[in-house]
Amino acid sequence: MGLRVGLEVHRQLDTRHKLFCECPTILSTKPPTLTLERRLRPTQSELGQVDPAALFEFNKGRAINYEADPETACLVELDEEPPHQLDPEAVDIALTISLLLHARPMDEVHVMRKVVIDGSNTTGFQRTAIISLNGKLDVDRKEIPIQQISLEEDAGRKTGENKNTVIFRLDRLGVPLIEIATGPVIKDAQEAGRVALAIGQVLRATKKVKRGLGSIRQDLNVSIEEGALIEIKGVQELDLVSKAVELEVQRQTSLLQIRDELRSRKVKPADLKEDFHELTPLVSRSESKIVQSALKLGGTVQGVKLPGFGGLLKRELMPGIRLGTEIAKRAAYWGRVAGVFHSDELPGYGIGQAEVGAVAKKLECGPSDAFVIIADYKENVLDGLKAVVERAREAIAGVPEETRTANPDGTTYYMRPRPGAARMYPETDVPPVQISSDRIRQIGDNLPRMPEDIAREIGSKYEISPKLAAQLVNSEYLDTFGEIAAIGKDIAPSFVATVLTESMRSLARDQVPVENLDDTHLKEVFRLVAEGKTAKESVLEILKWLATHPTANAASAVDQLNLGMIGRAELKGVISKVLESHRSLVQANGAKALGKMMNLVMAEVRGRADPKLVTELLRTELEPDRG
Amino acid sequence: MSKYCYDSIRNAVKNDVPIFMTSQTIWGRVDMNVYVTGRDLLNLGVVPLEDMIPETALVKLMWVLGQTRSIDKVHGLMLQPIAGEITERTAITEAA
Repeated sequence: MGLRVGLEVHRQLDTRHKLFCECPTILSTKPPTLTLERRLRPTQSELGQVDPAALFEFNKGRAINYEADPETACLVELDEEPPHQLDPEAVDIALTISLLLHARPMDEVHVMRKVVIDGSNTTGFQRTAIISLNGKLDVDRKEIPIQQISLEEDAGRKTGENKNTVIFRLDRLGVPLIEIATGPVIKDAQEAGRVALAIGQVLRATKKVKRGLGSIRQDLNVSIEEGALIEIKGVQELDLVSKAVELEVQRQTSLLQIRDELRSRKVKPADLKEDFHELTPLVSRSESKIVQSALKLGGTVQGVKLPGFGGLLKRELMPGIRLGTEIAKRAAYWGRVAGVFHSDELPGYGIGQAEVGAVAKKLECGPSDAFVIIADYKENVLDGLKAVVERAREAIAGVPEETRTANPDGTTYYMRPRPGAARMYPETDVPPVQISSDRIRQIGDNLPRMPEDIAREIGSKYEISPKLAAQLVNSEYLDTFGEIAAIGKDIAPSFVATVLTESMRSLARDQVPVENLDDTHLKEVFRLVAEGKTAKESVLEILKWLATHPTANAASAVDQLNLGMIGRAELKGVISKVLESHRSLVQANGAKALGKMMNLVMAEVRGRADPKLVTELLRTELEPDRG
Repeated sequence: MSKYCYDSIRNAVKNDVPIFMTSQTIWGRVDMNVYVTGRDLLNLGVVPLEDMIPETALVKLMWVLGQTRSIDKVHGLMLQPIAGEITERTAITEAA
């Protein structure tokens, strides 16, 4: 099949300041104090060219609203003040990561501008700087080349969108991101997941990267033989990397099958004509809400025939995504239209059999042909239909090169055409930074230790199994574990480690919002166990409650759930009550009744009494002579 | 700043005369990396004073020169915020 995958891992750095100003690297939780509206206007480059993607975005005529507050943004984010110098702390972290990955740092770091046209940067570009080249990372005894390690500024955070406006919050703009790009040597989907994980471990070893959702984004470059290079943007979760690769392989393979089918049907690109027909009179009485609302706004309905495409538009490429979906997305992007229908999904959506028949007749479609109709303003309809014809022609060639966006389930949709190569140019407002050999030496002498070394060390220090130690190092809770283990010997490290790894994972699987649990919560819970105020068995229950009541503390969770330990006197009371109600059994069996009585007592006090204490008290009751 | 001034500036710097750059705008910040002249002046040893306004800079320099005559200390004190006269971040306000 010839699968080749390259990864680009992006992760936010936990620096004091943003990359080009002195704002903090935190996200605001307060409402914005300032909103401003801007528009993107393309200009000619030094070579006299206008970036086609920039021109396209401009033609959409959209306004961009930026929201800011004084705590998380300054004039630099607004592009009212030139960038300050490249944040030295971010450069140090990037150099640390470079040395851990055996990459060669640049003598001089040059900041570049990369054209970004979705409005997420106030400048119209993203600043990026190569820090080092040609590293490597061993993953399962295979050497993965690390082509490039860069520092980038994160983009504004999208907080809303409608047809004519997109809204970005400026708190995230300028947060330093490290970008690590591997060579395209990954050969299968699972390997892609493992490489992403291994890179993540190196990053975490620095303890200077941010954690949690939104702090990590993976881009994937995927191609198969005879397919095309597809860039998938914004895979947020590590678990999704291999899934996204698998689905992309499935999509490209299906597109190649469609290509072969079109060729065997002898369909040629020239057969697909921009021959658009007015269909409004044929569907004006349809029950389709989209058609009716388009017509009410003075729009029109037009369609185009796709000769030889009969039955192909309903072919599934990925779960829930058909060739027809791909064509519709393309029309939506280029034509800003929502109302796209194709013949394989009709009758439906309020368009009836009679209308479909009339449209097919008007477009002169035979049984082996397909058609696409669009309802919107005329200008948008024409742009949309042009995009439909172009995408259909590409289906005859096979897989078009595209940049796609990942959905949370690993499927992807068309984002934009692949950008031209010439979208980088120098940032002349920021002077280059020389990287002295002294600086590199100093960083090299103080490199953090790698995860496997840490796992080995904590494994022997706390006497926990190598597997558990490795899981702990891979988890987000390694530091928390150290702090909890320091509480004292009243709490078993292997129990803490199991809770922080396996139990947290299973809670997350059960949709418990474990991300709400902070270090303080976790420490409090284990401290209560260590102090004998609640039982080990109650920890999960308490954590579950705290995750949904994050403003409360562990002690109040214990109260609320009635999981506090019962006192010795009360326990004695429970025991004598149990013994009383089974008096004959106890009298007949004496000390041999211990196991049975133990079960009965524990059923009453589970989670609220230490089993050891229960055994001890039972023994004294059942074997008074042992006393 | 025209190039014919460069020799005088170079001479002054050589003789430990402190030379600073401020902005005439009330909300602005000095950034000498953006244009060639700024970069030339930086190389000659002119010290940019971030967002301090010229009037404040003049009074502050008078005070600083009363504290020390060491050129390094003069530079350091001028860049050290004492009474909110120099800030790292230019705040977003309606006036901006």
